[in-house]
Amino acid sequence: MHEYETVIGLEVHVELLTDTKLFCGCSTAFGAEPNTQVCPICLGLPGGTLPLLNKKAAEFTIKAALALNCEIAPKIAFDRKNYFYADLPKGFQISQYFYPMGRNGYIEFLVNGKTKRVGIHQLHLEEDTGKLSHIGDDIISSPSSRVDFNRAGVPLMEIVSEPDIRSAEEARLFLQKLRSIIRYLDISDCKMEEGSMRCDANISIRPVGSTEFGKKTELKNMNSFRSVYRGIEYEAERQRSVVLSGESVIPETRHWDEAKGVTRAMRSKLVSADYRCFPDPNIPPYPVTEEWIQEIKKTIPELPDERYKRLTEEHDLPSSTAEVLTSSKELADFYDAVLSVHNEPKTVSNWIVSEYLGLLNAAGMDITESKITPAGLGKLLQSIAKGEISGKIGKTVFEEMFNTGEDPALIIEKKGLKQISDTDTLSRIISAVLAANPQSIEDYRKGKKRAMGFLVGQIMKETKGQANPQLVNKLLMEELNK
Amino acid sequence: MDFYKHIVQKLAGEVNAKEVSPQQIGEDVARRCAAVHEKCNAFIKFDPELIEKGIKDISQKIAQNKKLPLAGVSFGLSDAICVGGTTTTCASRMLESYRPPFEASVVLKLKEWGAFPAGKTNMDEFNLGATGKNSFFGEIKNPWDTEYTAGSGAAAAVSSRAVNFALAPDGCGELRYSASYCGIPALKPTYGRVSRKGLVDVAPSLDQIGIMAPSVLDLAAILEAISGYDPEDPTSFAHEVPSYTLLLQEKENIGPFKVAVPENWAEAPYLEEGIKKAFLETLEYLKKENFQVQMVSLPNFSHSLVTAAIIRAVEAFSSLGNYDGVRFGLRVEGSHLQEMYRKSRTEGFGSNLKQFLTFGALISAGNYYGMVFQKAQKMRTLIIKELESCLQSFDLLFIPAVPFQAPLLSSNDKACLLPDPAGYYTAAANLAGLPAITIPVPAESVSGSAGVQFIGKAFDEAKLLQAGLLLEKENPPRFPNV
Amino acid sequence: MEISREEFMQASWDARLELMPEELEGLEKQTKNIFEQATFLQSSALDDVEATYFPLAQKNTVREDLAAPSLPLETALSNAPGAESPYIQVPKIVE
Repeated sequence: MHEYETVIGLEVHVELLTDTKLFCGCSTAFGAEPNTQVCPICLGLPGGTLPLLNKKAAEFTIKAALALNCEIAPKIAFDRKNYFYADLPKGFQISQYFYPMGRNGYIEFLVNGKTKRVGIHQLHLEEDTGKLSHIGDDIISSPSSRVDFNRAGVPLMEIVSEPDIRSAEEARLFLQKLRSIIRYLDISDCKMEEGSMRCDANISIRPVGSTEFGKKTELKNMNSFRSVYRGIEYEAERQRSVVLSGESVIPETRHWDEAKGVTRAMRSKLVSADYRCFPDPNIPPYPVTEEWIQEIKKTIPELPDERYKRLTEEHDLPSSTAEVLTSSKELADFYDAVLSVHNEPKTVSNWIVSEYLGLLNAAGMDITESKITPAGLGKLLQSIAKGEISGKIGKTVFEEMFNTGEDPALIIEKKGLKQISDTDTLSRIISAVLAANPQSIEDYRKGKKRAMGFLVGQIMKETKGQANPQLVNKLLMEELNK
Repeated sequence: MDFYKHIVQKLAGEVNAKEVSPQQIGEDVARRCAAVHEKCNAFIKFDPELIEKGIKDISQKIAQNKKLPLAGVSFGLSDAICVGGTTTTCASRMLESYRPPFEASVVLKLKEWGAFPAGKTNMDEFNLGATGKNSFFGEIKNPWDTEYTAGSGAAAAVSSRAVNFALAPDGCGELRYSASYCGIPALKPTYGRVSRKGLVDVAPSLDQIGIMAPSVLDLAAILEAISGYDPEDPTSFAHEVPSYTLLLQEKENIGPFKVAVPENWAEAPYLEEGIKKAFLETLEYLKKENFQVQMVSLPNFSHSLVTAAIIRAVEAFSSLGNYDGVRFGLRVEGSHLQEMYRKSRTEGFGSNLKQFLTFGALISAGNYYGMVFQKAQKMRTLIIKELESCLQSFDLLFIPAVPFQAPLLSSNDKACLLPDPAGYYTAAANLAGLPAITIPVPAESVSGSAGVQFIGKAFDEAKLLQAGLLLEKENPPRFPNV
Repeated sequence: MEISREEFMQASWDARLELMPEELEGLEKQTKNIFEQATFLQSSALDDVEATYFPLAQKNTVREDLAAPSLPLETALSNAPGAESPYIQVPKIVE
């Protein structure tokens, strides 16, 4: 009996955040009325289809290729991929077949504390297709469909991994890391639910130790990170049972059915297999000079890996904390911004990871939607450090800041939360509490140290928690030991 | 009045000086167009409204005392070139009702200069060949003798002087050899010299909009108007446009040129004695004019026709992929999407076109891609190199325009597309993107002339026009009566 | 180069065309004709030659990422035989 391993390669499409389409000036904005963001070029109207390349889309793609450690093609060249389908206006898709923008790159991420490297076979730029909606339940039972060409021609970047991924979990981690890098570059919002990030998986299994690949299936229609994970898990398991029952896997395209949690074969005749790719005669090549590459390089921010290194090595943060902080650029930028106000990496990172993320999660919010500013948190932490408020009060203030977006000083002032560090005031309160609790004094003197805790509690209650705890302890001790 | 006999500059001068009114011209053009249409079926349909609209625009401008370099000049427009307010059919049933919501860049320029379109001229479907027999809108007859083909409606209209000039695409020579069938000069400019925006794509790496006109001076005036960079055509060039008409006035600068003739020029299939004789006589004339004529070896020239046919078939297969009955054009309903495609295309396209596209699909599939299509693109490299090196030592290449006179419409001898024997001498200029001019010289044929052809260096149209003018001087243009 | 009937049939399907029997025969004849003339297809002299896809050495022009007006909806649909505003209808996708 062999043990089998899963071999996975991913094909990821992301829509680029340009204002206009890849080959025409139509808007790429999401959610417009159908067929209102179209022109003769993206509709493929005879006589009006000459494609005009959007320079920014090319720059974004080169930027991504550099960030994914790819070799950059010497020219921007496009080819036609010919096939007939309802969402394809021209009978061909303009893509990069012979000269993908980037080749031979890689992504690294941590799996169980160990660094895993997955190769990037290639990365290329192409046009998106229009969008089909089906009358009725689904594509198979639908009597007719409707097309909206607003999306046709939106710049799409495809990233093809090497078959280096070995599990559904690795696939998920790969995707997360890829999304994080692309978001750091600010070239796509990578929302799987909205379709601005899409993922297909090539899956096969083989006996452990084998160097040959098994027959693969292509899995489509996974619309979230969770469904990528579940879909791959299911499909790998399905292939195992096929092989174990003595049959062989049929190479085919399969659909992930999220509701039923299964994969199903799609009729392969839908799309012709022979795309007859050849250079688009309407798009002469555009040279990619070393100067241009250098210019683009300058626009690449510090990426997650470099940041992680800085946080663990220079700021001495634990790797788990650094990983959380660098997983999104917004979070990492927030962290850095707080440090510029309050330069205490440990405190700042703890507050962000435990307090801030806790509040965000509970509210189901994204950091970009939050009212908390880095300066606000910085000031709050300064107040705590200076002893103006206690850490505990700090948390209350932070919650208030989260809800209202107000300045911490204002909240402290308004709610009278400033810590009481005045010896005379505290002595008076302590005397009153002691006078009211003679029993506790006795207990303490008999050696019941817990009575001390009770008395501190009473004092804090009297001061609405605003008493400086260290000072209370000191003064109370003095009083009791008199 | 016989101002239709004027060269365009003279006519425009008279219109600007208000010696001739646009209305007079309009009536005359409408009358002549109707006559040539009746005789030759030169237009897709004769549409006097198009003329009226054009005349109205010009009248307004003239009334405002605007001086327009082509004021009152009428032109025929091949029905592969888009103009507002009417259909663009490419002589195909597929596009019978297609109305492009935009206008070709060349048309916009010409209108700006005061010219007006008088009609959409008939052609072989999608300009594949010029047999005059492959139009959905009927056979195109030669104005010299209606038993013979005109090749294209544009040639029929210009040679009958129904219009001052015509614009038509040249993919493998159709412009030049149909002009020769009707005894008029024609010019195919350098690839990218004239914008293709608004020309329906068939084979984008070969197609170029060219000019037919009664005289070389007219060709020069129109070339000057329509040349130049167009930001909407990525394959157009930014080279400066000289004043071709001025260059032609400096008569003392014309020639004598160094002219190369391929030594095996007479090996063309179907080469007729009349054509051969006219060519040899012209060669003698050039020598008499002190041209330095030399036979050269161009071993790959004879492959240019087949090479161009292969490349054209693949590019056309792809470029006509947008004809699917979805966004425009004929739709024939089917029980499912792919069947609807097949029915629409099968009923919308003519027999020759279907065979041609199928050939294109065949030779770009699987192994044939490398064995046929790519091989042809390699042969193209050799042909280009051969012509380039020849034109380094010579000013011009001199060859016939077409091996035979206008064929009888009743004969199918030469009505073949794979390859089209009429393109034997013309396809090379398309493969290499070089400019070429054809000039009628006296010969025993239905038009009383035979076309001879000069091919020049890229962007050296001036020399072609100068050489053409020299030949024309000796053989003033003749025209059939309508 | 011998090409089978099946290959022609497949090519015509790939081009979404249906050829009548006489059209198929015509195409077979023409194909034979052109391959006979295309003697260079057999030549190994071409093996090391680079293919040319563009007639003249040319550099593409690029466009800044600036919006241009789109077509009004009615215009965009005006040529579409299956327009069902604001969509374009197509028959069912799956056979």
